[in-house]
Amino acid sequence: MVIEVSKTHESYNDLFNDATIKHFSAQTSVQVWVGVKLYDGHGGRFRCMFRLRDPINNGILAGSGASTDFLSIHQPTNIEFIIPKSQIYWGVNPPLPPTRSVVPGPNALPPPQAPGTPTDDLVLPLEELREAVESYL
Amino acid sequence: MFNDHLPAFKNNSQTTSQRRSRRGYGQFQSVLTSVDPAWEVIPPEDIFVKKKLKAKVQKAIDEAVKAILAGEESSQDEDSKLEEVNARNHRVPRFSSNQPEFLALRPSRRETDDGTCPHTSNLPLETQQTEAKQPSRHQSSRLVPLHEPGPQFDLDSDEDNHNSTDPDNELPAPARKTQRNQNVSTTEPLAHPLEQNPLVERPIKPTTRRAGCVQNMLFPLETFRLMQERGWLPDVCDSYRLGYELDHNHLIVHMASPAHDAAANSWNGTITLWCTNGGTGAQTLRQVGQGRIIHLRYTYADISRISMVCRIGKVPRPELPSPRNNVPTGINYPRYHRRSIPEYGDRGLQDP
Repeated sequence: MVIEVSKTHESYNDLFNDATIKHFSAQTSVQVWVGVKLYDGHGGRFRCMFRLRDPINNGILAGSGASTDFLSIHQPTNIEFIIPKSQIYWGVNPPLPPTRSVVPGPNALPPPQAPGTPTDDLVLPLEELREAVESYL
Repeated sequence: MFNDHLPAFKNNSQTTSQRRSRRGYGQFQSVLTSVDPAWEVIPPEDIFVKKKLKAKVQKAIDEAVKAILAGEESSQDEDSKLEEVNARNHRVPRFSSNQPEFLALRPSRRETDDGTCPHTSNLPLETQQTEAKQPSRHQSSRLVPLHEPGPQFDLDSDEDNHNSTDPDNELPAPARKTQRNQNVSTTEPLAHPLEQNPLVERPIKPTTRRAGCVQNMLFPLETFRLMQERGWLPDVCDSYRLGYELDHNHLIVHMASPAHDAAANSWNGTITLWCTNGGTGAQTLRQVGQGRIIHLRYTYADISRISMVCRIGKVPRPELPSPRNNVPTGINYPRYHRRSIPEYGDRGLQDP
């Protein structure tokens, strides 16, 4: 899994181009790409997104992942990313290692098919990112 | 190590070892070579010194860094404003949640208010081409409707043209940029984009960026690796750590700020707890790097490599119990380029 952070000299589209051309190229085995775009303007904002690899044609898998809109860096958020466990442990023969199960919140992305049920997928709350970056914007 | 069967290098004026020892290099006896002894073996360092390439490259990097720092505010504001306008107009909802990715699917035709496709009306006919003069490159690219990949892939945008007039910012145009215009015929009927294979017709965008790109210099891969391994690329500029990327033989300088590291490390605790099943399971994931603070990389990557700083220049003995010797092979650990490159006369550090 790759986390790419862009603040100033990399536009929002450049992030996706990096994911397609570089991280998800045929020469890599990156399965999950998480992008963070930080903005200094308007008191500090950020956008987050994640995408999965297209296992056949490489590049970004169409329809995979999720993206957020502009989020204020000073306003708490309950958005969470649910990243499939099978993608993170790609290449590992089953059974996969046990992982902690959590119940995703109501604003989890992508929305779970059965809300309120625990999942052992990786749940990344954007609130942790916001708290960490808040003092640097 | 010296092979007696091979002729040792001798020069009429002075040997390479003499020249090296005079310049402060470590001593070494001879050079393994099977070429004509009269030939002069020029190490890459001498080539760079003679042509002053090392100083030129470092000067160009400094200029690129200054350009990054100078254009920091304006570029960010423009970027923010542009994306805000796109979000308000709802014309490009491509990055909303669970939407198909634009790179995998060609953009569909935009329809006007009356339901007609504007591209068909703007499509120049053959007669128009015969009557009118041959359109310029810019015009011809503008008249190509269905091969226009969209504003995000507009290789002939006004911004690019504006920058191309500036000789300082001029970069060699990628071959596919011209190829795209050559392959496009404005008169033949074009199939509907959805009928074509979107994977084959995937638009390609050059990844070379102008921000942080070292101008007027192209770096072959071997040269880039040589400079990287020799440590000729500066690591730090003020409080910024510099990272380098070779993109289409263009050297791109990346500057990581504390915000980058804070964002990249913000999920470390969450990921660690998740992969260890609340602390009871074995660690199965590890962090391999980040942008700015490099010592944390060692801490998170492998605790046994913290003592690497004290072992510079030493080769661990495998028969002795050392945590470094327990590192399994087959894992791409971050290499210590500057310190692990063996100099002449120095055994250097061998990465596992």
